[in-house]
Amino acid sequence: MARTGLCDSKPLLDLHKKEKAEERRAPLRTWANAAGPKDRWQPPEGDEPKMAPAKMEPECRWDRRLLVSTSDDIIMGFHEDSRTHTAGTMLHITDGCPEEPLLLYPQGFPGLHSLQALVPGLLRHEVEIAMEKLGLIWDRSYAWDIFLDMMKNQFRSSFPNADLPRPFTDATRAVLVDWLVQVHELLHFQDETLYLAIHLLNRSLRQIKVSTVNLQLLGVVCLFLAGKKEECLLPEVSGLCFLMDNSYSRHQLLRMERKVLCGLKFDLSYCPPLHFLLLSASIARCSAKMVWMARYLLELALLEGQCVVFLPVQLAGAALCLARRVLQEPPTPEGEAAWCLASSIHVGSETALLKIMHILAGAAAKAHSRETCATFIKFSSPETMHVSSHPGLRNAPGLLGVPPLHT
Amino acid sequence: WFHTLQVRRLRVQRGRSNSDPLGGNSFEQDFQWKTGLQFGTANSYLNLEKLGEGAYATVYKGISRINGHLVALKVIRMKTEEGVPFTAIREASLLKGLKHANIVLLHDIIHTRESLTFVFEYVQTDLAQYMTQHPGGLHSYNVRIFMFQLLRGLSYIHGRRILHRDLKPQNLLISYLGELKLADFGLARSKSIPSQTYSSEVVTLWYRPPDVLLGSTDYSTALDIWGAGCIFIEMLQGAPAFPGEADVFEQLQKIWAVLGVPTEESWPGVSELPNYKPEWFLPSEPQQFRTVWKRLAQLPYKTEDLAQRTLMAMPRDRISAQDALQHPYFNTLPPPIMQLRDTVSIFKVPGVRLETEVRDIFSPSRRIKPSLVPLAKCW
Repeated sequence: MARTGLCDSKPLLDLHKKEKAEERRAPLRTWANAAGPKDRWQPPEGDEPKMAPAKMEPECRWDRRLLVSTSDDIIMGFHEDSRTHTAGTMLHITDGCPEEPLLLYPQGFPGLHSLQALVPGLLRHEVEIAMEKLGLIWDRSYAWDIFLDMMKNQFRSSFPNADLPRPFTDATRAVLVDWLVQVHELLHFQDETLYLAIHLLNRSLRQIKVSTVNLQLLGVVCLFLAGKKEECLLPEVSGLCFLMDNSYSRHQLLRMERKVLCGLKFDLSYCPPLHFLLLSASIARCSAKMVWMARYLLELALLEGQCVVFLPVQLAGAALCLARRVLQEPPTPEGEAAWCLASSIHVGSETALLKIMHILAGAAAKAHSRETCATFIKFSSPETMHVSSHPGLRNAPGLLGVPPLHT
Repeated sequence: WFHTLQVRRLRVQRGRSNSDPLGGNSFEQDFQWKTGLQFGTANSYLNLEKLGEGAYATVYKGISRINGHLVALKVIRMKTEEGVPFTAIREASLLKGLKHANIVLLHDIIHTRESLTFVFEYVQTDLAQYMTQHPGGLHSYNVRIFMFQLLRGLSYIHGRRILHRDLKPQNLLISYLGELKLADFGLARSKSIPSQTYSSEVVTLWYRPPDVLLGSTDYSTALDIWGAGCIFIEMLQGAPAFPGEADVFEQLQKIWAVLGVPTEESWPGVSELPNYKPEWFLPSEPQQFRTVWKRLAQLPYKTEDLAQRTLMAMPRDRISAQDALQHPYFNTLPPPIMQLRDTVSIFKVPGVRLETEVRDIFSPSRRIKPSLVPLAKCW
């Protein structure tokens, strides 16, 4: 293990202990232990002021109305806004033309983000509190900026279509992802690192020519790069080669690293859907079990090749929605009001949401019997409240009714 | 003309990012060696001279063969064992997403088997050199526009979950126009959910805030604001605000001499920090800034007020970069400066320009207009 020098001690992992690979059933979940659900969300009776249902009512109705009738407007408004905004900046960078207006608001009109103008102050307040709780920000003055930045940047992280280049299929990709989930767990990386690694894999599969023989190598390199970006402790290159039964040399691994970095133009930024999930869950005051369930469903989405066309915020929203349907927790007025508020973060149509929920429900129903069951095993541990073996998941597709026609 | 020559000569001796014990001694052979490599691999840039040596990279001045622009080439040493260093990956990935007039621009990345080179825009000097060249404190107007740009850059990165974490005059590049650009993001890191405790030992001691010196690892944007405050004082005063010489405790003592030793009343939670040992510190009372730093007494009160708000002992009390930009201290700048696009320099606003510094070590009697200097560069 090489220290990246940015962290305090984490237990060093001996990669050469073969038996560790076998004990997948009781993995050490350092991250989960270090910041378990208790630390990261306080239940509503925490130090936060309780949301009084009476006070919530007008806001809530406002949201509902918007969601039902004009949800697309908000969303499109935001979408366009972000597009034009980035397009404008890009233009300015590339040609640096002097005709470009120098001022952001030449008319002195300060309402720039339509989302910001439309959302009630309450949502903003809740987002800020949630981001602070999750440790996504350092101080609250930047919370909304950072949130808008996350919303904007996610548009760069989905793909126009789910097609993979020739020799690869969703099945081969799923096998690789499943193996990476296991390696990721073995290396005690954070969950963001896994999401980033799979995102890098999705991108490199489309941008670099790789032979089937080198597919595993590509997967490991993506995980290695994600670790270099996010982690404090890194595995040694030789350790990674060992994990692949030494089928590749260190030299090959480093060459692949160079290839991937050049292919991706060193752009390793990504906003993982997990952040949106935790944010929504925190705003919606979800129970710990619900969050574990949603995280499980979200991680199942990594295995599904068709999910790459959706935005992180959509995946997170769908996972949380489905978790709610599966767990069927008795509703409380506070909970419903909070959920209503949280769901206004969603971007895109309800059809897209339903489509993802169907994919996830299908995946969850079959998860235990599939070959690619690392995620299923990972989330059946007591630390994760055994969510993956919840009986409700077996007939999850039935909860959603008829699947949408265009799949 | 003379002025620029001096600047160039100075650059060779002084490291830009970190002090280099060898100085320019190994300059010749290094230069030859790297040039050879560069020619073999990346033909589009030509190395001219070595500018400095950092912890994990060497910086050269170069020319782009494509458009003839001057560039700074940051050549990163590749550890053959572990591939591309993680610092390089983080820096590149961060800078790719940052497009701002007050952040150094990354033009290009050249990645070959032997080396990794970042191609940055070339910026003539840095704040450390600028202050060396104009000793005894800078022109108060220039301090204001440098400070504004520093805070503008910080506000931009802080709004993107990035901390610079290594602010010091050497990392603030200054163009001939007076544009200030944040550079060296090797230690910066965008923060993700599990609030990791970063290790200490990241900021140069002089610019390190007391909470970090006391062993707190709960870093926040306030870390960069303290650094900005120290640089503010240094620009005004012409000398570092807290020039501790030996260790953390001496550094803390320098800070307490001005702010007073914190107590649990003045800073709730301070006694729980690992290095907090009040019996080790000489008792000292909070001082007025204007009595410690005499230049503040000559300037309007709002200057001292901004300095005070950035140099608060307790991190939560420190002003944010966003709020600092709205501080009355900047009221005298033309109002459009507040509404610029991210990528537009403040010098595009009519009426904003660098004032001639009163003191210049190279021409004590003559006043050089900085705007005339670049003419000498038309090679």
